[in-house]
Amino acid sequence: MWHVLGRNKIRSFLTMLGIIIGVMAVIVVMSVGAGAQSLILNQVKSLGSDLVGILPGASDEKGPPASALGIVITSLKSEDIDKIVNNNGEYPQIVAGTGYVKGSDTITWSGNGNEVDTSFTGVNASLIDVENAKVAAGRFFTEEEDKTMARVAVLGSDTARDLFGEDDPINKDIKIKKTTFNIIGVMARRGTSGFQNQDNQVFVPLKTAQKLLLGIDYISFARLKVDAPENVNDAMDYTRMVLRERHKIDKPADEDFNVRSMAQGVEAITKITDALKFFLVAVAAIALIVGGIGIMNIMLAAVQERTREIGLRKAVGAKNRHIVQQFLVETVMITFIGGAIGIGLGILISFIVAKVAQALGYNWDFVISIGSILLGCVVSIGVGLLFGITPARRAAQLDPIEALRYE
Amino acid sequence: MALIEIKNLYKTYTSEGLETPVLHNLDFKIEKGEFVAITGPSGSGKSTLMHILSFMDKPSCGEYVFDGKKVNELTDDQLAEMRSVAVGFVFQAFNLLPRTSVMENVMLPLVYTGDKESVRQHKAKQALTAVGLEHRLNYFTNQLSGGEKQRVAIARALVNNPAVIFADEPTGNLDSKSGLQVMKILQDLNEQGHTIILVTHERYTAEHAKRILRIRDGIIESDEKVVNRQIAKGASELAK
Repeated sequence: MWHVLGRNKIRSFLTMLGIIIGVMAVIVVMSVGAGAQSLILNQVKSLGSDLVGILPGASDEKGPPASALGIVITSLKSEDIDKIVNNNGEYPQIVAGTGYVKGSDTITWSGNGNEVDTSFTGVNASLIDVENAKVAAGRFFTEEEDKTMARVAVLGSDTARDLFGEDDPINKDIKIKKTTFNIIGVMARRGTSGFQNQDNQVFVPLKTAQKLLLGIDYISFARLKVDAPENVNDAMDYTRMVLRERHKIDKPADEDFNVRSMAQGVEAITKITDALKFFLVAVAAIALIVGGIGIMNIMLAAVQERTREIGLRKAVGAKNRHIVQQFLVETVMITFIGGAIGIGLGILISFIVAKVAQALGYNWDFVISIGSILLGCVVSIGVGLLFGITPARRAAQLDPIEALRYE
Repeated sequence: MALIEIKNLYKTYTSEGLETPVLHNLDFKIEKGEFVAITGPSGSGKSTLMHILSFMDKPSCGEYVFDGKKVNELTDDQLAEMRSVAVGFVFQAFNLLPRTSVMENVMLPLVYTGDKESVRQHKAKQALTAVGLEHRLNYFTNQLSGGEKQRVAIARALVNNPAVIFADEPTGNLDSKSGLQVMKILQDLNEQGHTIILVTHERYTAEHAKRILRIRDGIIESDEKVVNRQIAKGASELAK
């Protein structure tokens, strides 16, 4: 069998090429898809599966939040969050919470004249607990500083480096929107989350940001931390109840806020990425079909070319099923070897993609599932059987006398 | 009991509703150990007869009994089995597999008998020794001369130790010297007890057999013993 493939090395290789590319594409798509999925999910999960998010605007679990469409809704207030978190022991499972406001400006340090375009985020002191964030140098601001509108700031690690270079930023003064802030800390490196660089921002107390920098009295969104993931659903109900009460809303359908859990987010993202992966695999499968047709074409030509050989084999005692077997095995051999090469190349390419992504600082997992390898094997054998049967049967049906006379 | 028994055998080809009679009412027997030449001009039906005798074709009507078996009643698979174990072929055009070794060519019929690889190799070596090609085992067939190719083909026909060896114009593509060598081998095999049926249109070649069946227009014109039999000389004498 091997010598038949070996006799026409270039032709065998070209015949395999379609299968090689097809299987390789399937493996790469599955691996890179799983890697990208892991990247997104890791980022979402890194925030914690014990988080509850509150967005202003009507509740619509299927559609995107209003804020994503650029609509500003002013109904959610910092006091709402205070009320939910500081509930006098009514619901101790919610352990921390913070509101968020965001803005951007060019921040300057007069020490070296450096300027950095960055965003500033107004948060409560409990951000540290809510997001499991860590301070690399100095300290985060306190609840007291938040309440008294202290002009203190904590820099993201990238912002600190861009603005101060080798200098120590602690206790230096910077200007945001012409207001002077004293730097009290630098955050530990956090990486990107939701396509946003978490290290390129400045944290300031929520109230300071609202009153001094933005001139608003609402918050963009809020996050609550629940003591354990299994209490999240319960905590969401409690949050809705408190907010309905405070916003004087009777029916859940009229809610002007939107409470979501991280689990819901993870589920939604998984659904989207799964659909995307499926679509890409389907595209790759087209390459396999094209490859299979190419193989059928070559095998039909081979049957014609080897008509005399088939006649001879039948003359010396080959039964029809022997001939079918021979050509089917040859075809499956070609597709299987092609599939094996495709799997190898697919793994290699996926590995390179993962390494490059990791080198670029993404939290990217190199995932090759046994399932995708098995799929590659099964598909390549299947393509061989599917597209090999017609040429094989045509070969078996040749009349030995006429086949031997074939010129 | 005769090895081959043909009774009232007819063969008619039908193509596009047009019937072309090829063989008419043939009757003959061939005993074990005979060396029969079937001869006649082209179109006489001698090839068709050989195809029927060698289980590659079926008669339209009439009876063919081979070694006690009624061939008419065999299925396609059983016919294939008969070709595999009961007969060997030598063709005018050699029909060796290209770019394949001499050994593998000779082992080809054994692929379908289910012999083990070691048994196949042993039998193939024996057959190649019988035709004097034991020094060419690992040559590729395209490296051989015409005469050597035909000897490989004879070894292939011999390897199953078949009841009958069919040789269809075995010297047709060879020069006279190589042709004689091939006839010498066939005569030697016949001496060793093999039944040989030779199909040829050349009188001289046919006279190497012991009996000649002359066919013309699908009927047996004559069936007689060869009186002045040609005896091919030994290969060593020919090499001189």
